[in-house]
Amino acid sequence: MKPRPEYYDYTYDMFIASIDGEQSEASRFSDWIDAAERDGVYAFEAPRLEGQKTMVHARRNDGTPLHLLNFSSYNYLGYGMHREVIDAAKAALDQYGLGACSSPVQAGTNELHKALEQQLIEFVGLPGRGVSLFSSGYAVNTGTISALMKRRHHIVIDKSAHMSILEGAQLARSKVHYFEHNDADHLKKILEEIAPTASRILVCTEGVFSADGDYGALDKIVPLAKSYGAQVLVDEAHSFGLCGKQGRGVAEELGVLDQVDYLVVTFSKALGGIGGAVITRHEIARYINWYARCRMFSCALDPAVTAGVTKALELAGGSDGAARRTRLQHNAAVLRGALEGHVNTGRSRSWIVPVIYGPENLSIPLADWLQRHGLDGSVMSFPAVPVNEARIRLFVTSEHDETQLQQCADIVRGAAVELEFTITKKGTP
Amino acid sequence: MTTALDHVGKAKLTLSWRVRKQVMFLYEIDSDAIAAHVPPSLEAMEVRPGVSLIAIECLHYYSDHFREGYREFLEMVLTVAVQPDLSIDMPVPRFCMHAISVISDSPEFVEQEGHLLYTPTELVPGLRMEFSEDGGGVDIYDGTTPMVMCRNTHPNPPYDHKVLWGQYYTNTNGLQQGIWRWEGQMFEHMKAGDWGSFHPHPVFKGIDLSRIRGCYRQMMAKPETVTDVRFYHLGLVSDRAGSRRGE
Ligand SMILES: Cc1ncc(COP(=O)(O)O)c(C=O)c1O
Repeated sequence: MKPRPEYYDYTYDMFIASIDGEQSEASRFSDWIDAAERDGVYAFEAPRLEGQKTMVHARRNDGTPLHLLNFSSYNYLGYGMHREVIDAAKAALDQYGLGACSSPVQAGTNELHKALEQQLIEFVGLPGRGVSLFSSGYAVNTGTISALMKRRHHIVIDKSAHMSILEGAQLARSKVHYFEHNDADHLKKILEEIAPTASRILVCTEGVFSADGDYGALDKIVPLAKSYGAQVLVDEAHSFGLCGKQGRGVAEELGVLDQVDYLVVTFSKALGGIGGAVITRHEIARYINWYARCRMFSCALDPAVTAGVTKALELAGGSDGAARRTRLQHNAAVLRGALEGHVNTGRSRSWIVPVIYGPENLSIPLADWLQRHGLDGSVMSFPAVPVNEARIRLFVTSEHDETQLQQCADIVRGAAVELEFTITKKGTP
Repeated sequence: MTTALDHVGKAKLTLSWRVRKQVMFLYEIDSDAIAAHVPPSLEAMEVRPGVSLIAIECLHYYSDHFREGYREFLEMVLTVAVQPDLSIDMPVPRFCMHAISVISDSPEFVEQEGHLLYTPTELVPGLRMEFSEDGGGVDIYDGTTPMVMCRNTHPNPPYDHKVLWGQYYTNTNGLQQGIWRWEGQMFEHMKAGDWGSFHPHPVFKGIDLSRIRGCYRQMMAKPETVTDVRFYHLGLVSDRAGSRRGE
């Protein structure tokens, strides 16, 4: 067997820092990418030549044209490419121009923002709540958490939670605790310990976790947190618009929506745009509008995107959305079914289907192999996921057809044979 | 097995060992609970905001190390993960550890390692290690007093040949740095489960063990194979920093 290049064994965490004064972490990281590019195996950052459709034209960095089955975009309901959504955005572009060009608490707020806020309240069915809009889903978490939580407060976070939640907690400088993923017993232990003396506690979890595609155990975690007087933030980035009877998310599906204090949604997934919002008590939303620093001191949400996501939300709330959600669930089940028994799909029960191949040193050759065989699926390695649990993350959308789902499964199964990660192989995690 | 690795870049081989059994467990600990053990010019790496890593490494060495017929002996190392120095001419280090405390049951080893790598190594004649059959776990005792129980949470470690590079710091004679290279059959994982326990002992140098939040990562060498461990000592950090500035 040909020896593996040493740089296959490198992982992202190895370049996080260096104590020397010359930013060697940047030059060594750059050397890593250069080496993969020189060997013709660098498959990341290949620019796309069109929008996030189920098949996309792209170009490898060496100029090779690509036509790929797209399983690496979270345009889950296809609204990012929907005619009516694009037309709404175009109309707003004509009326309001390219950018909002001002902070939302100054001159950046326009009628479109107000309409989107109203539409969000109606969509989630929580009249009387307030909305605070942000320019990204990431900023919702960093802004909201750091606006409300301070040094003497406690933030309790699911260990698998998204970086934006961790960074929000870091900005807040509160005391941070982590509970084992979805483990209500562990959360209880932490709350028992801190509740008697804590003046404010925020428990943070998610609807669908983005690395594993599993649901947050909100039916256990939300009431438990409330019973200790804690507030709860649920990030529904990958579930808002996608599940629950009315498409409101996992909190709706598990019957706890009205108990959630901070419902975080993003517009970059089900709605195919960019931006996000926190839906919370009216006066708290107003406070966040002014005290979330990344909102107050940053430009308001782009007008065209605002109009586009408002249209997408309108569609998602009607029969169009319901039909797309049904197709999404069906497609996810089809893909999981075609993969199960061949590769390890972990604990997924959603439209995020991981294929856990294990060792990190397969990530570079595997990403290259998949791309050369016509599949765009994102590869995730340590430290984004546990060591030796590296995975291909496949995002299923309502727009994939049966042939594409089957082709995707065939390519993944082919890769598993070629790179030896079928689940019969000894030791696959 | 590569045996001719007598230097890495400009660094010369200082010490090499053959290891029969080895595990390294990394644990999450509150950053403020470990801060006092990190020299001022270093910084603990955080895996999550507010959470640093300490490691317990256990080594069971083959016989004949110091001389023909020299008995097998043991070492336990307590370290904290710190920022590496990526300006050093070597393959990119997997991680960099600062030695807090090291114990061994071999006086010769204590003398040799302390002398050549400036590790804070102390003799603990009663040091005992009971490795599990799969090599993935170990119970560590001082005589009959338990110190650390390292329980492997992976049911069937699929060992694989690996070469790992890393860096270390020691601080008994100014802040010193060096390189290590590890070659052998190994496996690592982060499976949740009953990972064991810590028990009070002077080896922990007053670290509040109640601030350990859980096991982060488990690394294990296939038992009864030959693991090759090499150290390339570089010297004082301040000397290297000076040479970088052209002093
Ligand atoms: C759970 C979660 N929250 C927040 C975000 C950030 O959202 P956005 O990409 O819209 O900024 C993501 C991104 O993927 C996410 O997975």
